Amino acid sequence: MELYTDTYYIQRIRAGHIESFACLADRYSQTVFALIVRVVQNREDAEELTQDVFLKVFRKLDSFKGDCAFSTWLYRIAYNTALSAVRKKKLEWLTIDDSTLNNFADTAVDNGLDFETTEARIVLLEKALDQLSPGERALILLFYKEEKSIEEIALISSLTQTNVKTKLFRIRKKLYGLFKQMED
Amino acid sequence: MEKRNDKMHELFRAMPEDKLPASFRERLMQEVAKEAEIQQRRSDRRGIWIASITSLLLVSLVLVFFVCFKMPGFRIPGFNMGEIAFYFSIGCSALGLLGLDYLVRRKLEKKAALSNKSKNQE
Repeated sequence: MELYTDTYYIQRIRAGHIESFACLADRYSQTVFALIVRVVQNREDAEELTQDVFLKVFRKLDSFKGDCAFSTWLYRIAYNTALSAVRKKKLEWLTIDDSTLNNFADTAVDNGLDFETTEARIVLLEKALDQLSPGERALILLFYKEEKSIEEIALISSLTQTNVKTKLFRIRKKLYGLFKQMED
Repeated sequence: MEKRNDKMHELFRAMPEDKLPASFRERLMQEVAKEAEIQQRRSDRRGIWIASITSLLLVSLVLVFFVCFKMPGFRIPGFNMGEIAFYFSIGCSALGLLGLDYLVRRKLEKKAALSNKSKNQE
């Protein structure tokens, strides 16, 4: 059970009780780290970036107007920090062209991804995720792992809701393609 | 797209999560404390700058009014050595009397304390 809301802690931090920031960090640091580590694919970098994210949050807390949930605002900072860190490293990832993706029928994708959760499947998923671009990984993780709504993802990624839906749809297709490739 | 009740969702949920080290919170809070100190110093410095600039502006404004517009029209009277000597002698006498008062009081208090002591011994 959560004793106090994020707003309560934010007000306390703004009033000078910086120790309240530890409560916000306790609440979100693990999930933010889990997202960043998947996006940047390096534990040490992810730890450092998670710390950067929380320091940015602390610095910019006065500019948080409360027009969206605190968690959405926090994830937006985490998403941008992780993606700019990856962009600096100029990593390469697999690209599947549109024609290949169009070859997969929507129903085939739905049926193809309708399988039992097994250890082997989880390993396959992790391998497939590694082959997505960092942006794609972030979006699909926000949707499935962090269970964010399309509206929230749109706010986090600064994309339109339609764009998010289209991207998620394509990422699912891409994952299906990768699953098929790895299984064959 | 907003259907998250599929097998993919289950698979993502079952995926193991990397854990943050236990020392993370402590390290983060140390950095936050440092950052808070920097912010405090920055805000103090900003306050000093604002106060200094405001004071300078006010002084400049007064000087501009005084020099250019001769406002307000007051005049500093010239010094009269006779008057200064008179007030100085009064000040000196007052200070002398205060000192004398202090010495006399101290002597009397000492005397009273000694007599009280001898009375108690008897």
